[in-house]
Amino acid sequence: MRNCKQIIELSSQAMETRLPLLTCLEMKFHLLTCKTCCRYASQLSIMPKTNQSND
Amino acid sequence: MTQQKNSSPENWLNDYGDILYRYALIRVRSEATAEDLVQETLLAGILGFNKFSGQSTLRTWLIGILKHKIVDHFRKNRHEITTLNDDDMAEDALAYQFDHKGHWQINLIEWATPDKSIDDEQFRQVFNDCVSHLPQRMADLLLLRTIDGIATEQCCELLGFDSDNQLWVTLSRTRVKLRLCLNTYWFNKE
Repeated sequence: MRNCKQIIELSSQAMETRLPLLTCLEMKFHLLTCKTCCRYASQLSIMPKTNQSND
Repeated sequence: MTQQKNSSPENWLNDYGDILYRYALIRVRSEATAEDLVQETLLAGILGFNKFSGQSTLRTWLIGILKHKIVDHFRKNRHEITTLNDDDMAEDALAYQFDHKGHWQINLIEWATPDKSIDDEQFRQVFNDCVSHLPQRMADLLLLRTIDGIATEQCCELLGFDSDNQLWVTLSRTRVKLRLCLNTYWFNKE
């Protein structure tokens, strides 16, 4: 299982590219159970996002 | 800010000079270079004005030209990019927030009405300040990739990343630092 430091890296990567299914599920499960990471992820979402249609 | 579609070229410097200059300055971080890029952009705009379809605003069209000029600028100056310091500094920011097992060492406060504040001019100012205090390659990456939407592959080439993965790791660290800065200077203010 990944730790918080790895999960926040994944949540950033998820803004750039589609994560493998299992990795994505692990991240989502972690975010459901970890309040701090969940808050971090929601704060990431207000920062500028990549327009994925450009890739 | 005027945005008429039919603004004639002699007014462009007046109408769009400021916005183009600020756009360039935060990316290239040199007043002289930013001025050069704005001049090149206006010139290219005048020369290519017959290609302007009017589908976007003139402002958007000129910014589009400026983006290309900025990418060219990065391409020419690639060799000046320093990488080592950036990565060291990023490690510091992470080390401070996480313990050796990778668990959070800090509490994150809740951000008030985040959706609305993104449109706020004052927020924009704080955001720009935070970006300009990032290590250079991080700021370059953040702006080129997430604001300008330059493709990952091209960002790797321009900024000297070996792989997409390396770029994503740096982008994540950039967001960690940016979050911390926004938190300190905007969301945590009394």
